[in-house]
Amino acid sequence: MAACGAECAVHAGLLDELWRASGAGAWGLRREEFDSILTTAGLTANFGLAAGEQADRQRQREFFLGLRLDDLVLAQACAQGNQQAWEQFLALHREPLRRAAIAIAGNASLGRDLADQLWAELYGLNERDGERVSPLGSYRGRGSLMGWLRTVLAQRHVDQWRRTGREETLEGVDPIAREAEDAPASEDITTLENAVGDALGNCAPEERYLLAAYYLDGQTLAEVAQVLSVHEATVSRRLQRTVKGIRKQVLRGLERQGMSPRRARESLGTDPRDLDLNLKKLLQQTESGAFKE
Amino acid sequence: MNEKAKFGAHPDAEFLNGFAEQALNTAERDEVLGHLAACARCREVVALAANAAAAERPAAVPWWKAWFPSRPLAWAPALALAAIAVLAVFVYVRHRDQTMEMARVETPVQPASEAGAAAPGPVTNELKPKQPGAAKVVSKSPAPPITPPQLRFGMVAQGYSQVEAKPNVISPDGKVTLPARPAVTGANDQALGANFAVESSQQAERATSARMKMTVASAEVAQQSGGSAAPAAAPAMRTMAAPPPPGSPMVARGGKAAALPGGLAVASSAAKGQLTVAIDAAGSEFLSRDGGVYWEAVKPQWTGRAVRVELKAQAGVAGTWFEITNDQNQIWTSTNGMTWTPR
Repeated sequence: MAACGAECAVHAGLLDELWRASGAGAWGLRREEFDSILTTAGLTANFGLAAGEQADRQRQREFFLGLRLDDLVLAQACAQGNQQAWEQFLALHREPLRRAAIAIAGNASLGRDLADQLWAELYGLNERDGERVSPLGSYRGRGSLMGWLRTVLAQRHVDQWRRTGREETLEGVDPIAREAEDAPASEDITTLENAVGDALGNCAPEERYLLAAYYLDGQTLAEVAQVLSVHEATVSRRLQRTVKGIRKQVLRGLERQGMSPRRARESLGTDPRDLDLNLKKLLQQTESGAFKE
Repeated sequence: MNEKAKFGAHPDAEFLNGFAEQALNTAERDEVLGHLAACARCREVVALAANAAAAERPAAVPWWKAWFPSRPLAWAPALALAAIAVLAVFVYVRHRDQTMEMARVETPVQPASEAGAAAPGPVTNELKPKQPGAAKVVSKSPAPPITPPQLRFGMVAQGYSQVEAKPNVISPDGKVTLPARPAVTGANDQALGANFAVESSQQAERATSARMKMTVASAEVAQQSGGSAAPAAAPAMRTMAAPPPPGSPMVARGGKAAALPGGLAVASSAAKGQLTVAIDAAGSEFLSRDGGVYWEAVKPQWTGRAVRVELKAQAGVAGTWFEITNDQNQIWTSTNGMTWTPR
């Protein structure tokens, strides 16, 4: 049993199996450190179960096998200040991280700066309450460690760019949509605005993401496809289907509000500039409140 | 999930990376997608990370390129050799098939055994007389005539091509020797070999008997006329194909007579211009009006067996005439070789 209370124990046989599978001993991690890291990781996530539920051995095994165990152990050992783990981490990820930073920043010097900043941060130069704090401690093994590092690099870059962009120039910054002036709107236009709002609100999360990435951010089909790990032809088809579905829903909404089919079709030809619609706001109407800003 | 709340407004790097690497369950993925639809910052983060990951991945190689090495020119010599080999085989096979096809279609030669069965009766070959009144030459033969195939481009019939190309050889003493036809040794062409087998068996039979002696008429005429005959009358019987063996039909190839119709050796001959009279070993007389190309038999109008024919001329007498002497030393004369009167 791991050194933890009976209610949160990790089976010793399972830890033996995972220890052999991880190969962490090859770069100098001690068994006690390994057990501690896994137990903490399991308990923090409650082995993937809802709070209060108890995980048996099979569930624990499934949870650990679903993780990038070797990456997790390495990252946690680095976060705890294990020197051998850090050397192993450098040997594995220094060059890939530098290349990723250059790719994200768009040029070599900015990329190297970005990578150096992150290295310092990862090493734990920041301290909190007298203890080193490394972002590696937040890595939980859901995806690859290198993917996680790339995402952290991208977050740092975007945050930095947004901060400095606001300070230096407004050029290129997407201005916050202003509230439209209270212009007298005809009854048809108001009906159309309501119908469009309803249709966008009923879209699935993926459809809203496609619309936002493609129409608001101006990403290419290939870029969107890369994020979703699908072919760009698939993205194109889904976009067409989404737009077609929204159009149908708008027509249906207009008819539901008392418009004749012919008048509803005519109203779809309304100049969009006449509409008082904030697409950003409409797309932000997520059903989930998990990541609300 | 219980970790989301503590990372505040945006999903943390773990979730965004899990989303990009398809490591989230459906509910988590939908939550992240919903947030991404609303959050430009997170969309940008995910897009940048995905771009960086794509830059790390090696470019996808099409499956067909995986079959070839990185240096495509390394295959060039081997490919060229293979192409040449294939081309050579193709040309050889096509050439052989074409030859076999032509030999089969254009050579209507029956095997000797079938030829005998197919011709139970005597075969009559009629030589059209060039002049009215000319006698028909009738010859009997147990075997049908064999016509060699016409040679065309692409034919590998070495025997035919060589034999047809070689002329008959005339020795200084006036003997005519037929060129020997080479034996067919090309075992790779069985159809052609079969044709040659039939042809060469008959040819061998002919060649055996055909080392025959022919008297060159011009030399005799010159001697017998004592040099008084005009030189223009000299070349009466010149190069002449060997007569077929006794009993065989007179074979006309390309309109040329091969031998005296009787098939026997020429015993004596005389010529006056293109008009040639010849007597064979049996005493039969044959007349040719075109210098020995076509022959026609002349009905004997004398007694006994003709043994000699001569061209005579006499001072004070206009023109020349033929004289036939029989075995009893009696003489018949004729000016045209056709009608004879005793002297």
